[in-house]
Amino acid sequence: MPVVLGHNIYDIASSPEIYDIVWVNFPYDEAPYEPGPDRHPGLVLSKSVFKDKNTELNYASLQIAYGTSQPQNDRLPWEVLRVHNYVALDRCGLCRDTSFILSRVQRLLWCEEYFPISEHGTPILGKLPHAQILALKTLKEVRDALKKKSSND
Amino acid sequence: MTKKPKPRSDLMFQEANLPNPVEFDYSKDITDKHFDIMNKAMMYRSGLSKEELEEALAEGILVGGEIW
Repeated sequence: MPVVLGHNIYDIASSPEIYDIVWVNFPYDEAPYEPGPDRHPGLVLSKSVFKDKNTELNYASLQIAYGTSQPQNDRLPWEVLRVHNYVALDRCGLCRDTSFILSRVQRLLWCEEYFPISEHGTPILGKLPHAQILALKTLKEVRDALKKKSSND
Repeated sequence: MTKKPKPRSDLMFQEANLPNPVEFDYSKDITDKHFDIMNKAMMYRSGLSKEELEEALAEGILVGGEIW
């Protein structure tokens, strides 16, 4: 498997599209070179492609919002996208009510270390349904408006 | 003569090509520790500092979505 920035990168053709749900594996805190047991679903918010200067290989990086089944009652409404109805969860490939935390977004390389392949042969679990995509876009507009307002104040 | 809709059982709706949901426990809250662990791992593997890594990952061409 090709190595870019010290990571075993996946082929760009296997990378998810935006609004796909993927599996994210957190490494061990004490041993960052090993995939840990803590896994969470991640919502793909953006995708960028790169060419490695040394190897000339193309690779992808993703902005991911992490999901948890822990209720997020203390968070502000524009910080969380909830997926809770049966059909939406099914399309996302999830089995529990899930909150994606939009104030906790991280950029990750599309690589073996953080995106474990599931029994279905891919780290991609499913795709956010249309209604939730619209809700996400509304949340983005609200968040951008709030950012703009706070920078003007 | 009045028109009659087809029986429901005759309709051939295409099934969505979805995998079965994968059962796993993700009930832990997402905390700063998760971010620290991931950043630490990426820095460890790439040999770059946090700033250098952020810079390297932000250089690509956006092909989908918006920057959050």
